[in-house]
Amino acid sequence: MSLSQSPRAASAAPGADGRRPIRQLPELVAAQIAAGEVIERPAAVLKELLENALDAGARRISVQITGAGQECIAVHDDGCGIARADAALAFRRHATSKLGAVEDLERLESYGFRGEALPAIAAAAGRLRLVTRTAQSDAAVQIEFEQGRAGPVRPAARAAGTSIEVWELFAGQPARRAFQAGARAERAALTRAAADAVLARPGRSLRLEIDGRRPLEHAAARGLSPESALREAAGAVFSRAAAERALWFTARSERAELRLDGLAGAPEDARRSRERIRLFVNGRPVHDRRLAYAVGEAYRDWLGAGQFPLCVLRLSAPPAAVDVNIHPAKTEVKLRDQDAAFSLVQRAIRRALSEAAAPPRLEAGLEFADDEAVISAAGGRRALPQPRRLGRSVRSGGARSQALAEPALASAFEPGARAAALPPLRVLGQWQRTFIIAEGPAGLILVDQHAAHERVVYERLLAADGAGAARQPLLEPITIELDAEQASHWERAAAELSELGVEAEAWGERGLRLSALPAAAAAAQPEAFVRGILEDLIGGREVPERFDRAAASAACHGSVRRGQVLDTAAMSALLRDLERCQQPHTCPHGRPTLVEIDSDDVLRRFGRL
Amino acid sequence: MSTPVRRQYLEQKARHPDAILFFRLGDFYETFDEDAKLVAAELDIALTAKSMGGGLRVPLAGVPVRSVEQHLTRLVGRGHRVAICEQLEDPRASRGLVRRGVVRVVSPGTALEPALLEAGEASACAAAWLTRSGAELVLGLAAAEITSGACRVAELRGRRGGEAALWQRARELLERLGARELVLSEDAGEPDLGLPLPRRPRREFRAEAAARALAAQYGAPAAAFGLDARPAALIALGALLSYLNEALAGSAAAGARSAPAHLAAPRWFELEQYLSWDRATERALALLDAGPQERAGGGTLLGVIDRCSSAAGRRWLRAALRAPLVERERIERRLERIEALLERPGLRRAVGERLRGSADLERLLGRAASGLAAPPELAALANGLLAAAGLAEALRGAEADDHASALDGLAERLEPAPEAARRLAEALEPRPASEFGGGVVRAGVDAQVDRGRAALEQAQQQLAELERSLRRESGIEGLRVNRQRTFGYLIELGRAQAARAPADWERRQSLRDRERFTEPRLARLEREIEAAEAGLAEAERLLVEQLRAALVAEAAAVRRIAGALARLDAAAALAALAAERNWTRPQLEHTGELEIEGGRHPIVEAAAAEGGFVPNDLRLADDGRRAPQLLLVTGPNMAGKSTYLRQAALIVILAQLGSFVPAARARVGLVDRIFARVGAHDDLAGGRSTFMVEMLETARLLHGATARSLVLLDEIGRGTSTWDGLAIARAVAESLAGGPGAPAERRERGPRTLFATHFHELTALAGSLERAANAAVLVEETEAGGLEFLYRVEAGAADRSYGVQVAAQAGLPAEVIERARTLLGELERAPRGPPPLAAAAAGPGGPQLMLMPPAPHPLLHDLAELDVDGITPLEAISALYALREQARAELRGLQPERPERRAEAGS
Repeated sequence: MSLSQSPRAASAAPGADGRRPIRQLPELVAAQIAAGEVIERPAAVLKELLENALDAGARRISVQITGAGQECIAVHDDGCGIARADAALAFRRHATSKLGAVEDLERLESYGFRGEALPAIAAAAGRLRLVTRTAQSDAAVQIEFEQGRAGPVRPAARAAGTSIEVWELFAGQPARRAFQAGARAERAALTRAAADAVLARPGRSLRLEIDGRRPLEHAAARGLSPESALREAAGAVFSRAAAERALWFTARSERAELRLDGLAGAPEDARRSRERIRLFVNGRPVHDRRLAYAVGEAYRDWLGAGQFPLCVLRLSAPPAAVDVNIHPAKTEVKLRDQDAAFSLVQRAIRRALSEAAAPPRLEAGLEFADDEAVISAAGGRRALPQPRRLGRSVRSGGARSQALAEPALASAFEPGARAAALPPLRVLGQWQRTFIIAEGPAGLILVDQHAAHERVVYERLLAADGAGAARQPLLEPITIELDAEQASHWERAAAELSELGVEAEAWGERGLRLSALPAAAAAAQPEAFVRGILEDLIGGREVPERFDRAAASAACHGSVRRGQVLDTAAMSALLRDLERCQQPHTCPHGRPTLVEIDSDDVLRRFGRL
Repeated sequence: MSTPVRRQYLEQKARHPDAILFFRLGDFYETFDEDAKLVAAELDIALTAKSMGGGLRVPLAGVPVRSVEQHLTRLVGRGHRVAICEQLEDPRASRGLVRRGVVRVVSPGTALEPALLEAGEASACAAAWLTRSGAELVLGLAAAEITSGACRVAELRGRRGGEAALWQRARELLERLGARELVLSEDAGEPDLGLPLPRRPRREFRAEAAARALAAQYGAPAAAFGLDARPAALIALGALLSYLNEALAGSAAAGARSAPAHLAAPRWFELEQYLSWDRATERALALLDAGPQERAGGGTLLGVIDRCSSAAGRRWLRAALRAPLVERERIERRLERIEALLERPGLRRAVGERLRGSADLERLLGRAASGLAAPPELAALANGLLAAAGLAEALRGAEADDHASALDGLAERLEPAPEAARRLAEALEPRPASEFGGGVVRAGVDAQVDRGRAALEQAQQQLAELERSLRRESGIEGLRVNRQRTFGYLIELGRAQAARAPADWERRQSLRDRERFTEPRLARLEREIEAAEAGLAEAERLLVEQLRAALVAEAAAVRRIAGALARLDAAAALAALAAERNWTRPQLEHTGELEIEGGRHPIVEAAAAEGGFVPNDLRLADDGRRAPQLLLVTGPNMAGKSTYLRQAALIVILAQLGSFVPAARARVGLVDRIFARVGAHDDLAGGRSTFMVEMLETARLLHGATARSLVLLDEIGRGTSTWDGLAIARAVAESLAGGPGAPAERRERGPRTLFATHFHELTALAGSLERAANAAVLVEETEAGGLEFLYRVEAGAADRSYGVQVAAQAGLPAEVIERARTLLGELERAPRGPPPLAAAAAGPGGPQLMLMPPAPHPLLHDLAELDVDGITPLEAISALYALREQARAELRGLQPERPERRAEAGS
């Protein structure tokens, strides 16, 4: 067969004078070099194989992976299969069924076209086995490759479709093997590759098994609208609840010949990484910083800095308007009209969010007050204030203060400052449903109601440590579905959380059955509470000890939120509790709970001093 | 002579001679005499002896009350019946001998304890009565699920002398009804049913007794249930009711009637309404799990399709699999539900999530009806019933489309919850305590309970006051009043203060560091508290009992909701399966055709990698016109013949139980019976050889198969010598496909038949039998001389067996394989064995050298008339020898003397 030359033939001995003669590279070496561009890790192999399966019209794809992809990646599909005569040809370089002439590049409808993937994979694998059958033929054929060398084509049994097993990836390339990330990272990348295929083609079923676990299982249903189909897919990839909460959007630009649809996650499903922004151009998963930025911009009023939404965005353009052939891995594309795409994305998502902001469905996720009167008092140039920015600007000494933060407010207590007893405070009122305005001996005090309550709850939780925290059983246990990442963090943090009084057991594959909360957090919404903690653990908040971290997080999610109206009695009670705290000046995450506006300062500004 | 307790024991034991009597003595259930020896052996506990006065010592073995369920499980699991004899009054309150009585008899069919029941399987108690009128036998059967209250009756008819066959059918029916035991009259025979057979006195098996029992249970005469003209079923039902009456006697709460109050009116069960098969078929197709060790494997059809979230759903699916339907409309209704849920993945998941771990309403109903349910169980029952309304809403909320009405039907049955459930849920605490005494009923629900609670609180307040005043009076600061488990309320002092205790305090208990005293005021108050507690408990008990009885009175509504939940669960599970495995909706019709495109074997497919299972087509028709009626499948061993046969039957069963099927397309003419003779089973315990078992089963199918049946025959005749086997196989095929020797009813149409065989000579039948055709499982010989199985079935006969290649793949030593190849070559060159068959095989199209005359051959008559169910194994063996002699003689071209024995054996 074509790849039968030995790799050793390439390492020709140097001549007598130490110089090596120039030679045409043997096919296998060429293939390995080309492979280096595409096949840099197991996930890349999976991506290529999945794209081949989808290009073959597969309705159902099943993937089994062992050894985090280094031992075996097997992809089975029910696509059109490869005819007996073509089976060996598929492994020649630049052999492809998807492209015939240069003009075809202008109207690419398929994922693959370079004809490089299979030879590259065969070259990188210790062993590769292909079994394939077309619907018309009686029998399947199989070919095995050992170290890139093809064996004979033999008959085999199989339903119509193709199976490819890739064994011992990079076995012959110790350097590349050594460069592989840890198994956990590889598994995540493999899952991501499969998830991209599911999101790109929700109408195809895909089942992924990695090292005995099933991180992804998507059964395509018939007769669904594009919206429901994408929701189903997103539910399988992320979580069912997040997919249900997400907003469907569509948009088109006639001029730029662009069509757009997708799901914009609710603000409450945001995370501290861009991981869940998934972009597809003509069904191809891409990394595009500009488009991702457009998504982030669309959420600017809803999410604070460092938070990124869940978003699945599918852009369609005429094949001629997209250049995918920038890099062999095809994860970057060039759009003819980048600016049009940018503004289309931003407008579509922002519109979806704005329209949804009114109905109660999203309200729970919005942590700002939407009372016009209150907001205008802030005098900011933006209609929607963002308390998070206040917090940030205060901490950073006012250097980046924007609408609300005055330098004078920055006389905040340093995080971790020595505990000083609070003076007695008298409540004057609530501002922006976020801050308690109080009067102290030296001036005006603004108390962040959330941060303050967080501190109170945190100290209660810590006080209960050891004795076994007081827990409040739920009336009815509730079941929560986690995504794979949350589930793995749950496993690791379960013991600490249980000490805090979070009582829950694993429920099904990725579920939790929650039966009690810490008594100190009884006010919280149980589900949001647990999810929030897990998100914090995933995001890695900056509290050192694991237990303290869990407690801080529990405190945060069990606390009074921003935007919650408090009456005077409640505010007074909160301040009394805060006064009793050991570290009343900062929340468990180190942000200030209150800022003080010195009387003298105020007087000075009014020119009275 | 003996003690009063001994006399009391003997009296109770005399009433339950065939049950183990668990005799309550304090914290133990004791058994005596023979019972004790049995229990000690079965439970592996110590056998001791107890003195019973007058020097009498009797064997004794006992189990603690708190662990009784575990011991019951073991005893009942082994088929024993256990009569529970309780103390009927508080020993502290009674003088002299405590009154005792049997409150329940626990047996495999009357168990209500979760530990004794398989969550996923029905559990029924059955009774049977056999009558003879003239030449006809009528077997009446009645079965009741004491858990859910479902009740069925049936009658089977047979001819005199066919008792064994009748009981065989009864066994099939009882299995479908989930019977765990069968009550028989003391003078009935010993049918082999694989069930415990408790005996009851003959007098309970009389029509008058039955009519009385019916009147007592349902308040209606037998005619109301169509039982007046069916005396056998009536008598069976009457006997069953009286058995259940005794089994549950007294277990119901005080005042309630003792019989299972929630028992539904009996419904008729007709085997003809269901697709049926015998035990051999069930085993050959691996339909249901055989034992606990296989249960986890999923190697059965049930294991593959059971994705239910609730135990009730699992039971429903199991019952549906045991008895698929033959009525198209009912099947279509089930398919509609699946289709509707298939299109709504979100709803499907919601159903699964709601039902996962939900309360088992049917079983809780059984416990509530018999008064065994503790308050938390009653709360779970009531809340479960109310929660069904939420599901109904979710079903109605589904977008309207073609299939939505299927869900509306279910939604209607989920509502409304019985009013009594609402009242019960409102009355009980969200998490009620197991024992009455203040933690069961919510405040503000019942005046009596509230009064009781107030009285208790008041008394407790007085206690606190008393403690304060005792402290004041005695001047001892550390004084506390505590409640001790055995001693009640006592004043507790540290050792140092004990000396300062006033003189009128009475010392009750001394501990290492503390002393405990009582005092008149405290003693009085203690009595008040105890009275208040008892009053509160009684008030709670009365209220809950009243609400419980009201709910049980609405048992029909509970069953309606529980049944709808089970169906919904099963439909959602089957829809999920169809979505995941790409199963399709079968097309059902009233024809004799079967057409499968891209059919797969559900169990093998589940274990194979995606795409690893090779799908195959199949077409059969009863009249042989549009497709063959009998398909002869040839090909080497291991090539997939048996799988191909089995998948046809499994697809039919799935289709008729109302599931989607593993095929690209399936058109199923409704099938009445399935006969599968696939795979060999020795019945060594029964003293029957492989061949004998095979022939028994073949005989049964030749008698039972109609034009609507599906027959699978795998390598029939291989258990005997080649020529015997070939002759029998050919004769059977001909009989099935309207050839020589076929009975008159198969002249035009015959059962759709798949006939796998090793005998390549038989492929010639495709030429001689109009309704037969050949199919072969493809293999490809590789260059290395090995064999590649392709698992493809194509029209035409296989050219050879490839036995040597298969043997080589199995790892036979190379020398043996080499020698076999040589021998095979020689044999193939040599003139073939007995010439007549070779000739028959050689001439498919041309004039046949028929061995057997075209008229029905006497051999076939003999075979067909063999009353296999009615003869002993020995007679059967003799008959077979006779048949074989005859066949051998035929093959030699000689007409043998007909052996004398044949006549008596074949009658």
